Amino acid sequence: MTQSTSHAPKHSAPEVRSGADTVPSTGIWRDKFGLRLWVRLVIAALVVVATISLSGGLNSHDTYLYGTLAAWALIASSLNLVVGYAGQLNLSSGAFLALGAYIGVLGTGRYDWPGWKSLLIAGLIALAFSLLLGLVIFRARGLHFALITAGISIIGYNVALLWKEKTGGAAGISSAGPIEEGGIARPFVLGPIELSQEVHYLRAMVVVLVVMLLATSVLVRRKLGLSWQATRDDEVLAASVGVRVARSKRTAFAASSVLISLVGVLYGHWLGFITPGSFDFATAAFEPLAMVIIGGAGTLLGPMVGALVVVGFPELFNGLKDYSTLVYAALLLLVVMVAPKGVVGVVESTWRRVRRGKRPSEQEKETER
Amino acid sequence: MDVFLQQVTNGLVLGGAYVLVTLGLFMVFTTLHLPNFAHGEMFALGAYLQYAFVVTLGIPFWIAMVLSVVVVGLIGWGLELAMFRRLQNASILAVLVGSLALAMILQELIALQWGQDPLAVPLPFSGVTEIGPVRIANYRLLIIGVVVAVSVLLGWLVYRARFGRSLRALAQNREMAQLSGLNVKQIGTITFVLGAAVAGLAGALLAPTTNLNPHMGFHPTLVAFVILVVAGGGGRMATIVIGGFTVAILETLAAGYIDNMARSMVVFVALVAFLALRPEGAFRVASAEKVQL
Repeated sequence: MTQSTSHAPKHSAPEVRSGADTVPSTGIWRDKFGLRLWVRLVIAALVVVATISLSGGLNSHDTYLYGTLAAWALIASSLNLVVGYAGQLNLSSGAFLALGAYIGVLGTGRYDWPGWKSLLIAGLIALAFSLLLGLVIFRARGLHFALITAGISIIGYNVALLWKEKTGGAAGISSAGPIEEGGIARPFVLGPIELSQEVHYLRAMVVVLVVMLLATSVLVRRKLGLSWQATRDDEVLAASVGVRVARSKRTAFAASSVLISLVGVLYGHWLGFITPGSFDFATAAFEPLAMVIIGGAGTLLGPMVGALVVVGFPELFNGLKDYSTLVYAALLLLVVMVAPKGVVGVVESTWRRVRRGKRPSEQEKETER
Repeated sequence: MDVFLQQVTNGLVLGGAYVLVTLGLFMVFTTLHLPNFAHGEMFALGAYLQYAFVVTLGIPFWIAMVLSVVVVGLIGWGLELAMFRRLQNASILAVLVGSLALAMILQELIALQWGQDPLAVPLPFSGVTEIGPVRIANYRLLIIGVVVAVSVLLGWLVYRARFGRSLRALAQNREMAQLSGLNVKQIGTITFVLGAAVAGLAGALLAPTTNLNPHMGFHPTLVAFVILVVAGGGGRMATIVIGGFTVAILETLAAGYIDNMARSMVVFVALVAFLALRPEGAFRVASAEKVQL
């Protein structure tokens, strides 16, 4: 995880130092490595069109399954910013996910807020918390950082349990509003868009996921994302070429935490009924981390592959259900011990080896560039 | 005041578990530099094995306790050989994530074997002693005594015995220790097994005083790490013992005076506050990355 996962650092050093000289700066179109931006846009459009046209025909179980996958892919992809790209072993995702989910469910169920307002409030509170925490938690590193962020998740879980008047304690709350009105789950309303059925949430989550991945793919090629990766690869070296290490850690943490909270608003509505149990350490803090690392930290596809492995496998192989935690924890251990770059890393290196076998000179040229 | 003293006494019993778990982790972490998040699972295994031996198999309590400690030590040995030895040169993040995964695996295995429902182990003997205004069960008094005795024994082992000298040499500089002819692999294994066995002892000892559940080892692990962080570079084993009892008393008081569920938050609120107020306790790399024996 600490080693460079792609050839990004090779580019980051010159770019951070002298910018325009070595790599022609072309703003958002800067796509000197990896897939070109238009290719990514086409893929994104295809995925969105495919989801919207195909999702109507799914039965309810499949809709739920793909919804779960999309939700966890969203959470893991948000966490990937700080864990994968900035290299900080952040276990605080549980607290921020709970924050977003509770604000969303309370906003719709109790205060009749429009969806935008819930999103705005959740985002602002998460931003304030992450900036404040960012001042303190980055005094610690490695083990201590993991410990203190794990503490944040556990505090979040306990607050959800204890603050009974808002969160309903262990009994939980739902977005259905007061029982007297029938307790029918209320839709999540964003201006003209109204999410009420399972399939709407699935579509919305896939669209958000696609947009998030596109934005991430652009971000990690720009100065901010490159400074995260430089910090991850070598803090001292990064600082020596002018990367503000502390600031890049804080921005990564804040960006990831705010995104997780916003995803939490959607996630809370999708669940409809939430209890603190949905946000305990194992589920909301460890599982997303496991997804990021199993799939491949610091890769775009990694968190999605991880979500597929962690959430999808037990659904696909029904007999595995009781053993799902056991299976993914064992997989995680295996990945850590034999393939630290995750599934995507294994696929990438195999692919590279195959290509090198065919056309060695071409490959050499490309890495040089 | 009486209630307060009673709470403090109850805290001391819980503190016994924290002290033993932390001492084991302290030895493993300082000598091998392995942040083992699965260490608390040895505590849980100790308690569950005690349940299996006493309740399921009907073995007498004290023999069962010896068996539990030995079996947990053997499990620790197996884990050291199969996993932690291979992670010796891996990055700290790999060890962290790997041992967290191992903790989850062990918790799941315990849940598969013994179920999710809380289990109880009967007390080996009853009776209550009154010390001033405080009433304490004799068995709990014994726990405190055993914990103090084991701590003293470990302290003697690490700071006075010959084995302790090689242990400290390994903690200070692994390469130099190896060059001076110490069998670092063997010392590492013994340390790991010893740490696991001490945690197992804590589990077996505390089993009659708590409800057993598969996740019971996770909180002590976190507490142990927090104590290690706060003890920092200058921490010796006495600091760990005092720290373990202090945390437990704080938790018991929070449970008594605020809310039972507030108990597990206390230690993390304290940690965040500690790092905010005294970053040097955990900030300097020399003291932050490795704790010295």
